[in-house]
Amino acid sequence: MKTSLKLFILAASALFTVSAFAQEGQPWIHDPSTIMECDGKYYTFGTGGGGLISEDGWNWYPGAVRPGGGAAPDAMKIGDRYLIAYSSTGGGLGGGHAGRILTMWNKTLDPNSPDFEYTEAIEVASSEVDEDCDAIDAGLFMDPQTGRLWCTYGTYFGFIRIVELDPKTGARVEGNEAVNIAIDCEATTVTYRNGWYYLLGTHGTCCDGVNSTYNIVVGRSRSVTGPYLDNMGRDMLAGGGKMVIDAADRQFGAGHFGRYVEDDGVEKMSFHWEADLDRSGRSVLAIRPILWVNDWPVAGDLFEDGTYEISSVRRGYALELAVDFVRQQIERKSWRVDPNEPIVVHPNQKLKDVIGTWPEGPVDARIGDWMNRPHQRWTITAVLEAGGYLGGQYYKIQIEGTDRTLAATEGAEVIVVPEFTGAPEQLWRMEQLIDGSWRIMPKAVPGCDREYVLTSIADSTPTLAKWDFNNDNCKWNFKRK
Amino acid sequence: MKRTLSLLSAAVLMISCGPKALIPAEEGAFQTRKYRNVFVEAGYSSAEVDAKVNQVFEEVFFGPDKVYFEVEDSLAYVSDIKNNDVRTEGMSYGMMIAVQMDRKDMFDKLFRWCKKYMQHQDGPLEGYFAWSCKVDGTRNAQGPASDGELYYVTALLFASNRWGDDTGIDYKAEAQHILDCAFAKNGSNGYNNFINTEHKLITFTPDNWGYTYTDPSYHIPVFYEIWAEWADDGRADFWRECAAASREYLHKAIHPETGLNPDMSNYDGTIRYYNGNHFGSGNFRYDSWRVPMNIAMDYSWACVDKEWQKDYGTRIQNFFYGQGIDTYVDQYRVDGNLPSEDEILAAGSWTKVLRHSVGLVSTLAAASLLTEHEINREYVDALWNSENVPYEDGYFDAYYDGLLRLFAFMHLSGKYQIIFPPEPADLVEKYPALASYFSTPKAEAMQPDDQGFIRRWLLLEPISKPNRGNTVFVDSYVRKYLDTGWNKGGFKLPKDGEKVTVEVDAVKAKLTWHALDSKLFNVKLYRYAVGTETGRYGIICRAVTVIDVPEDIENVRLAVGSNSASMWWIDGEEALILSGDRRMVMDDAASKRLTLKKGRHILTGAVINGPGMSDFCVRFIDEDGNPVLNYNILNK
Repeated sequence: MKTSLKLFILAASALFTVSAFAQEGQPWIHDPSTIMECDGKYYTFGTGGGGLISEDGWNWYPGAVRPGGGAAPDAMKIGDRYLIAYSSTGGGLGGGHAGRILTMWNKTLDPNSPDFEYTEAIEVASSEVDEDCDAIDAGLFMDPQTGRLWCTYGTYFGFIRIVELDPKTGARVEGNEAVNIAIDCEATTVTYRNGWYYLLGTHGTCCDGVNSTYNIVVGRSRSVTGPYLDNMGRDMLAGGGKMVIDAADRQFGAGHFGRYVEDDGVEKMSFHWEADLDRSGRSVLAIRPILWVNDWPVAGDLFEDGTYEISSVRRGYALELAVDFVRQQIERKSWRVDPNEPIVVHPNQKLKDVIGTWPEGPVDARIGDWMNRPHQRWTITAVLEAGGYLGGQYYKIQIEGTDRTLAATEGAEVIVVPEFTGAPEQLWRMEQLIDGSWRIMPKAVPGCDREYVLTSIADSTPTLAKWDFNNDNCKWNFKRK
Repeated sequence: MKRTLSLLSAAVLMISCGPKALIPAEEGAFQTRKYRNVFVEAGYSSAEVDAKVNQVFEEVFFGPDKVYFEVEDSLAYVSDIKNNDVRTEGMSYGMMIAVQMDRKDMFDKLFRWCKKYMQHQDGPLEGYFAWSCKVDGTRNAQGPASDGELYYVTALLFASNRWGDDTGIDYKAEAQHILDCAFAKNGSNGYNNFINTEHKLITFTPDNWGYTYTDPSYHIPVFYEIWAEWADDGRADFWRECAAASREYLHKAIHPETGLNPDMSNYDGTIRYYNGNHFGSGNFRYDSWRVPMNIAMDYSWACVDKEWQKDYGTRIQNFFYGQGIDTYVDQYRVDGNLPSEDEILAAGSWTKVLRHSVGLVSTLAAASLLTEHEINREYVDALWNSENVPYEDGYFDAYYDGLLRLFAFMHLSGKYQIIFPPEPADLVEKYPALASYFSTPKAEAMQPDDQGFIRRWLLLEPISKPNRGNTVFVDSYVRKYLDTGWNKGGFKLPKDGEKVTVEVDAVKAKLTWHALDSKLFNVKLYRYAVGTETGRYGIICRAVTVIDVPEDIENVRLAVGSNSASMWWIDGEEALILSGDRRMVMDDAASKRLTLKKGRHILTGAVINGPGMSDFCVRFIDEDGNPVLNYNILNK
């Protein structure tokens, strides 16, 4: 008894220190379906029935309801209804492979809603016990170019196949023939971007806890039915695939990709870790940003606490406190000095060297040449009790070694206040963008209910303005110090 | 009957192409810079008018009965001969006449005498002029009379406009000194402002007793508008209020039927009596004569109180016409009755006599600028035919009658004028090195360029502020040297060519504002300084422009790039600071969101630079960073 208590405490403290790497709450899930938003809440379904619900996208708890059991569901909103696909399995790796892909509709995902009622599931694809396919792990895809609905399915046992469904009924299009598009994957799904169809699948070892080598790979094609080639030109029908995400430091077995386009330039991917060392080795929901690099998806990073230069993409100047620049009193050395003069290592300017020159009270924020000076070094720390947003939590942004905190103000400007109070205008949402830069967004702007992001309206002037991914003013880079 | 007759005679005149009817002007000279020559309108030839005015001037200043005397090395005074003294009234009149006649030599000599003998250089009366001195300069009285200061300030500002301030006497600084000294007094040492600041009306005298009332003949409202325009003392709004208050006061102080005004008056226009009317302070007499001429001057120059002033001119000319155009006397009760014996004021040491005074003949003639009734011509002819010669009893006033007569001749011949500063020389013509970067602004309003940059500015000549490098320009330094209050409070748009005195680090410099349009999106201050041969490195430049916004524009920002550091203000409110060793970068820094309200706004900036090029670019951008284009840029 005593021992288990101790273990629990250890686990809990570990959870606090590494919380940025995983969802909070009770995010226990395997094979999470693509995240759906319904009436202000987020939903994902998993293998075996049920699923998770989150109010804020960061804290997840069980509560989603999906009947039918089986494996690896997927979900998609079509019109004002949700289409859920799942599979009844033939028995797993060592069992038979007579799988069935089923679809059903619901008007809502909220089990407490009076409208919550699944339609009767219908079969859209299947596999025989011993054919070169295992009809489980459905992935739904609506082609934005054509409006046609597709479903991929399959496992390591033979081919990954794609079939066409009727988006009105969720049923198989009559006469449609399945097309083989890959081998040796699980949990596939197709997505489209910028003229390319992408087939994402999971490779590696499933279901082996911390030893699972599960990893998510991708190939792309100009056609929804393939061929899907990787970055080497290798067909996924020949086992090709380019890595999207593999293991993290303490989490292993990334599987079951789902894409969530949150905003223009802001995309998230959901998946599970087969095992999280910080959480008893359980299988947990994970959400990461998606980066698109040369038209290839790559998993981005969740923000990590630390001290940073916050550098504008607009010009590359650094966010800073608008105070007098204090010169470092180090003699300028000519290159003509005695070559044998001993080398002296000078320190960087320190906070104590300058803080006396800073005004008390609120100070404007500014953007200027990066000189690694105290007024430019921002310590950014997660505020655990502040909740979160899809895949992330809120942070305070403070001058290193001080309580001086970046805050949104009335009139949608920014300022640095002398003290962190936890007010929503002092909490910042950090999201990596599809190009790898970051969006920095206050939880609230006083006197304003619109969403604004930290923006470099002029080279030297920060403000808050509406998000525009096509405008470098809205983007920032964090350089770890 | 009379009406028919005048219509008939008008018709005859038209046919014979004879003199036209004398009709008041429609607009003031402040707008038109045009003056009537009433004598010419009345049929005199312009050559004979010129000769006549010159003859009257010569009589008063240089003839056998002159009142102007050059003394010592380079001094001169105007003497009230009959009282054997020198008065601020006559001295300031003399200065005004000298500047009108473009006689700088006379002006300077008179002012030097004033400065040497009359003006208090310290003490509770500092800045004011002892109103009466003996001709050797000994003061008969220490105190001032407010009409003297009124005329001094105006004459000095005209001298500043006509001759500039760097020919030996800094006329504008002298005028400002008088005004500043006036405002430094609050009654605590027995003396006060010569303008009653509560009523915004001129005092009789600025001592604490005289501060409580006024003299209708001291009221020349347009003078305050001249001060507002050119005194550059930061009190322009106050002076404009004084002009309005003075006009309103005259409505109340002047008798509604006769057009006569009392000698002394309370600020509400009621008569200021002493011991009943025993001494006649409620009567129209010597001082009062000036009122019709003063109002004619206000009409001719400002023309903002047309209907009342025209009616006033008609009333007072009708009153005296009713007394007999050749026989009216020079003192009346304001109701038009003659004064009793004890009310009559004697001239100097002469016995109490009512005369048909030349001074009053003169000022009533000047009132013809206000009127269109047919008798106005008779007043003009009366002046033309007048002579200032001794009366039968020997009385002769070369001074007061003489000066008023000269003034009237000047007014009616269009030779008493508002003296504007010279049009500034075309800077780009004068300094061809500017031509690649700047052009002389055209009269039409300018718009921002395609990218929204403001290219029309008034630029002050560079202020010297040597710095070996630009790294010293941290925020606190920039604020200290650029945010000096120069564009706050009563700041108004400088005029092209206007000079200001700027003090930096206890060094004063007199610098000139120049209106220029930049040929480039960025205003090249280095080229401006070098091109005008006024500076190179180590300079502070100030820039001002006016934007005229047709409708409210919300959520815009002032976006600036500057080399090196700079500060920017809208209507005196800080909008933006760019500190540090700045390079000129389009949209380097932007203000917070602001709303440009419909109407005009003064945009000011100051740029400091050490070595190297200096320039700036300024525009307004909207929420999306796009340029704001829909407004006009003025420099006036």
